[in-house]
Amino acid sequence: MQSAARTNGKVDLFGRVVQGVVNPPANLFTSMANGASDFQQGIFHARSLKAENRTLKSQMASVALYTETMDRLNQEVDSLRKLQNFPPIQGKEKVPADVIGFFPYENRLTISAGSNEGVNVGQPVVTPDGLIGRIQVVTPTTSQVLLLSSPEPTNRIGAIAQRNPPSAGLLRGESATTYLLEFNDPKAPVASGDLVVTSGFSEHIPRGIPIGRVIQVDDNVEFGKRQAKVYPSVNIGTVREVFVLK
Amino acid sequence: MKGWKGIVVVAITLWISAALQQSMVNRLSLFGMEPDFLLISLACLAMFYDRSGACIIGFLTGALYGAIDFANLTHYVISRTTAGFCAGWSKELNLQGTILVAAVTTALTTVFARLVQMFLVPPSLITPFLGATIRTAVYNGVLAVPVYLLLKRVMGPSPR
Repeated sequence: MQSAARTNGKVDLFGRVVQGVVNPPANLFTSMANGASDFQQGIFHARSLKAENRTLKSQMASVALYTETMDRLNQEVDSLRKLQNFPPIQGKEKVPADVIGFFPYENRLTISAGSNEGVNVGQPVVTPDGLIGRIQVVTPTTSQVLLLSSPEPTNRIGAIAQRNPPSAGLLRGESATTYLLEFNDPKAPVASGDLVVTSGFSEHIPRGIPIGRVIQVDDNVEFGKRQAKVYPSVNIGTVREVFVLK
Repeated sequence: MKGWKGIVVVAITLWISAALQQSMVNRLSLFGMEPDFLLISLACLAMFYDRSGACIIGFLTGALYGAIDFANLTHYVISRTTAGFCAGWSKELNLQGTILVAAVTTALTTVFARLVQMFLVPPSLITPFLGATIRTAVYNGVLAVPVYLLLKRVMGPSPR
């Protein structure tokens, strides 16, 4: 029953009850840990934090100059797509959320944004360093993220190794620290060190979100495929805040 | 320990453990070792109960884990119930209820639960899973010491 509900992106009754009971203290522990961590950072890294703050302020001032132009150009793109009867580009709006749970052996994260914030099943979840996974289950106030590292057969996304010409393949999780990018072309141009990004051949996931870097390339002669091992660009263990792209 | 006091202590312990499991695992990760708070609670609580009591605690632990993790309940329930049974069974060895016994029992319970889980839901890579299991068992064994001492204070001396 639970698995069937999860497949449909919903939570079963038992799960809802347990989540309702467990979430309040879990949120309390999370905010306590965040507070303690911030306090410790403030005490021991005050000088670098101040310098970082100054840099960020100057960067924000520079960004403000471009934001207006960007917004105008985005609106133009939207209106042109509308005129051509193309659907709007997905993933332009970011919903911020805190990580409130991490289950490494199930390759899942719980985040503090749900359907109340407009989060839906299948939407990509990113950090400033890159893509970490997709929304699998949504409740009104929380969501479960299935990480890219999950070897579940349904957990595959389109990805490209960025070089000229770019080679597109399907990426799946292999372990916590490795993904596997499979190319149907046995001569696909790919080499160690290539940046792997999302291909955009998806309803929800936009093109160009970093995923990781190629660390090894193997040829599967038997099936006429080329496989690349990818090291993730995001260290999941340190992630505290994420964005859901909708 | 029996009666309402025992039920309340078990309920509160599992509730807090589930909340810690949900929120603190990645923050308390140390040299690649990640604690499993629900297994620590299961092993420590099992030391105060007989086999059937420990089985019930194991069942609850597995159901809780599956629910907060949105995972398939079956493999968690089976692995934790059998681990609870084994942890409760250790009572027949007539060992003294010391912190060393608590640490070793917790480590062995962790290894047993994870191995059962491994057979029910084989991971994609066995060797890293076994390595993580051993690391978690060691970490759990260390964390079991304060948990056991706290439970001993609340519930009275372990009956072994």
